[in-house]
Amino acid sequence: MCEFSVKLIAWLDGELPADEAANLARHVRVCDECRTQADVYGRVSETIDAYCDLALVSRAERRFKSRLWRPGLVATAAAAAALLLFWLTGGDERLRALFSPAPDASPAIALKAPVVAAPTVEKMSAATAVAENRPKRVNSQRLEHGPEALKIAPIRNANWFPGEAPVYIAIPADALFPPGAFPEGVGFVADVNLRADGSAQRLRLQPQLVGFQTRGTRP
Amino acid sequence: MSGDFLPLAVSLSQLKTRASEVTVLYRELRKPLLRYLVCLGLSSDEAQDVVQDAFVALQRRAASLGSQENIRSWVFRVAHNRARNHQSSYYRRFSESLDADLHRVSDATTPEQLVLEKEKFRRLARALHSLTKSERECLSLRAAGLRYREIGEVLGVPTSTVADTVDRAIRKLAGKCNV
Repeated sequence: MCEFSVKLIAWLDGELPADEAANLARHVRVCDECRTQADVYGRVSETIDAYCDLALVSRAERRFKSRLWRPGLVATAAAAAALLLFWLTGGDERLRALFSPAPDASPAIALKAPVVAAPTVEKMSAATAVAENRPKRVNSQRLEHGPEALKIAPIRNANWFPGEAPVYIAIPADALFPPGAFPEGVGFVADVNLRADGSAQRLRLQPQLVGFQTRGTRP
Repeated sequence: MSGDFLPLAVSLSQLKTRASEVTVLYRELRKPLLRYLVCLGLSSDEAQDVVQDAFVALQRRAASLGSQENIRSWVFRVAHNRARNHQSSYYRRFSESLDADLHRVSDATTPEQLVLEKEKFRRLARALHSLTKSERECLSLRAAGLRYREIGEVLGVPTSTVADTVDRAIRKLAGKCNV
């Protein structure tokens, strides 16, 4: 056994003083045994490094997988998938239809969306136009006390300020009905008509699945 | 490793006013620390916890104006001692099969090469398991990039002892692994 071989590993690790390292380098160039040993030790060191890298990658991967399969995550993912499927298959529309009232529902709260006729533009003479725009006399006695007062005024947007967007108010179902009367996630959108003096004229509630309805321009 | 290099001989008192160097130190040492701890047999979670504990300890030590010449070996020593608290798993996983993840780090381009690589790692795992505790610790710290002097500081043994232990361990592995 070569006397230099005892220092080969320290030499490969760069732990020898400079002069000793230079001597050993010169020796390795001419000694087959030491050169072979140095190659083997070098390969072992590389294998250990690769093994440690592999261990780090492997443990990190297992950690990720174990976290992924935690029961809570699985349950959450399943619930999200079920809700997505429900929404994609139009389930929210069916649920909305289920909770929509019959046409003869209580007139106090009209749950059915109003049918608003599309505006039409008609040609008229100047005299007719003046007559149409003239303020009309209102029989207040008949409106306040007559049988007509019991009737609900036809749904129209006469009281909206011109050019103003309607005001929508989202109300949780729990605030209007006893707990359990509606499934969780159902809310209502209130459509309020105001008179010119600011008092409320009409309130219309529309059921909605909270979080699943595209609100458009509503707040 | 990042491009920034932290000088080894930085005193802890300097870290108080050089907070950016703590960040550099963390970037520099995090992976070698994790590598060392995982090689010792800790799980990834345990290793992350130990690394975090080590840097929290460093922060406290710096705040108390403690004095230490070699930050790197100091952090490794703290991590080493914290890792001992996980004795239940300390060496249990050391010879755990890593075959399934071999393709991630292997350079093998053909199935035959991959099989040979797997066999090489199996032999190494068995050989590592046959080493003594101090030999495994020395090799793991060496694989993490520490010098013999730093390994000695971490393990609390003279540098010459580290050199002998590393030499003995490598020769054992070379004889058993046949790489």
